Amino acid sequence: MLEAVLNPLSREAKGLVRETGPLSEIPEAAFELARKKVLWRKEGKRPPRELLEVDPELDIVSYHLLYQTAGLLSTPYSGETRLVKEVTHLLVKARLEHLETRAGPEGALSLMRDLLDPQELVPSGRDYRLWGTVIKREVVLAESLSPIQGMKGMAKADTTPSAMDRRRMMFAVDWKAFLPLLGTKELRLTDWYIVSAEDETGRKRSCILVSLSNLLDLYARLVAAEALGYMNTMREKGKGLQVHERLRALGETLRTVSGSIYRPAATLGTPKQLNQGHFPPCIRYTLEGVTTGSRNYAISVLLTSFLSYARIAPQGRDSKISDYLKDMAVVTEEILPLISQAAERCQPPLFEDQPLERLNVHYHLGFGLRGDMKLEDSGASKWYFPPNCEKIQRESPPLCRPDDFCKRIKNPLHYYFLKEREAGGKGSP
Amino acid sequence: MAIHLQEATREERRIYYNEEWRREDLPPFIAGTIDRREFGFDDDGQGPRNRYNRFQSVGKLEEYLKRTHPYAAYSSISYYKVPEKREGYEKAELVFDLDAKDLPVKSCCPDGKVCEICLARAKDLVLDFKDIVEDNLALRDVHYVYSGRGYHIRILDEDLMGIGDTERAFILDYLRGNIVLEDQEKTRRGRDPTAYTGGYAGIFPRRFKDILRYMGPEDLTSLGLGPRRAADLLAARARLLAGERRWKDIEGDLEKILKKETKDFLTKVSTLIAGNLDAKVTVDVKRILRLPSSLHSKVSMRCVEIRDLEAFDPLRDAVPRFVGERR
Repeated sequence: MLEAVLNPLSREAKGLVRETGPLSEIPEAAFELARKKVLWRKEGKRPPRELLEVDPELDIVSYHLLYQTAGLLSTPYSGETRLVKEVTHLLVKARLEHLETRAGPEGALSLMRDLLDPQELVPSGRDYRLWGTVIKREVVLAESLSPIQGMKGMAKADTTPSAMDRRRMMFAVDWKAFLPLLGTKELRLTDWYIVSAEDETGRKRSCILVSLSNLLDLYARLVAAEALGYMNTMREKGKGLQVHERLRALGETLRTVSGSIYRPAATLGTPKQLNQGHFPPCIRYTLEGVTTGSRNYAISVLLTSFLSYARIAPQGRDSKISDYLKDMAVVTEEILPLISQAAERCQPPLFEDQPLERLNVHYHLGFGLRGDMKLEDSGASKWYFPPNCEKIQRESPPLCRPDDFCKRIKNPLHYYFLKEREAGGKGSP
Repeated sequence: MAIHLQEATREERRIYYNEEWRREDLPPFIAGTIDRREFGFDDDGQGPRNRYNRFQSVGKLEEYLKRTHPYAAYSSISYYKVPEKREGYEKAELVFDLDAKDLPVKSCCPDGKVCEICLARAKDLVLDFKDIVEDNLALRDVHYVYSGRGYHIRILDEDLMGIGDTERAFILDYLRGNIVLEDQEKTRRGRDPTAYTGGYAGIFPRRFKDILRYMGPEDLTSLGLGPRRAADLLAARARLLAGERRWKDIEGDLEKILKKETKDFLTKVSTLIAGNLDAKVTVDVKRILRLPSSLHSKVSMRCVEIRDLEAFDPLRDAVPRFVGERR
């Protein structure tokens, strides 16, 4: 049963939830525990001791109440979903650390094997052995590399022998076990030291070298990533369903807590005429025309989404242009001419070279693959949000020519709105 | 020297598909999943606009190719339940695309063209990628395809076929080596990363040295270096490239020349390094890729699966017979 408490999404835990009666019959204590699991987060990042040892059944049910609530009432990128994922990570990690203190590393390791299969490096003279292969001093290099995203430097201050032991790279875990954490952008392969060796069957295996401290954190993050997927599944399955009032009340708690600990989402702008003087470098570069290799991405994806979002400034991502415009004048007289000019300046001119690419521009504006755009067609396809800087750097590196202001933002649109806001609207045409 | 890669005529395409193309040339990894893949064709050299095709068997594909002898043929990297509608997505190969014509810092031939030098450079990179993919990451079911002007690395490792675009992007970063480690100091205090075969810490230095090899003064000044610093760096290049120099020594040399701008310079070079592989191909699971065994008509070369990468020579192994018969 203890395993289920560490991982509320284990098969055993899910089985227990399936046997639970309808929502109206779930004891109030489970709802109370669910509320406690998020309320402490207002005070800090370390869960209170009272949440480390609780009744296992109530514990599992309370986790699932949180997942159902966030899944059915919140969007995937909302503060509420983020909060539930985060408290899952912090609670599981704190419980593992608590367990490790009481029962030693073996106690914690044995409970992690449902998601990870860590192999301990065996000291061999000055070096280490793993499946018969000497790892040599690579362990030292692994220790010198950066730890997990957002955790850099944490726990480094503690220099007691037990803390130092926890940070020693003594375990090897198949790197593929961490694929879910690549998906949630919590782990970058480039931050870790990956070794490969043949196991006793002659099969090549590739592993990340980690410390016990890393393992506890990574396991908790894997559970939280699974919880995120579970909430998304709930969201899909529950579309159009009436949400029980007890979950609505819990949802209110999630909304209040997440609102108090997370900053409001991206800077929002106001709809007004475009001010090219405040465009980010990637957009200014694109407007001058780009060469083959970057053209389609620069014009149809980046410029189209940037200009439309900057000019129309919708209050959310899942909207369509017709929610904000009464006619097509802004699109045809302000946005499309800039796109056409930039396409004309490309080498070779994009729309002459690839006439069908105009349809792709319409598609990215949300009008589907139509030659003639009408306001009523808005919503035929998705209105694409401008890609983040990270994505631009990755998919079309030549477009990214950052200036000092770029250090403050993660998306070209935020560059524009932030500059506009700081200029107080001055300089607008 | 640029190779004269002449476009294939309609008659040459007909000859190729009817006299040279053999169904055995279609790799088993495609033949075995043919009815789960979408096929696309470029009928007239205007791009692959003929999409949403499905073939139930290799025989049906053969019949189509012989009858229509398309300008270019493609198949999806994804498997679908209903490929002719691109519906019911199941999973996708993990793909890396290296185009010799788009290699960064190229002075051997004009942009958009290929020559023996850039084809050889592309192959060297693919061999290095092979080490990382097969040895360091221990991926299975890896296939190498010469695409006509570059290489496709196609990975059908079951553990990876279900992953999304974000996971693919992070694996791409690791492979192409364009991430500058955030804290080089720590790496130096530890051990020289290039002294070991595993791990990312050795990949960026390798890519850096590789791209520096091809840089001229203009390339360096376009990265913001003044003429004097560019000249100093080029003068130090021989030392930097010498095999016995370790990464920390190279960084020391860079810091002498570039001082506080070293990190900024490394970041700019990393942007160039990123150009070795086309990220859009890797992250887009709905992509169609040139069909191995088909003809790249623009350059009259065959797209072929490579059996022995080390021994492969595109100018010997991927040239269709009709090219030798041209007057």
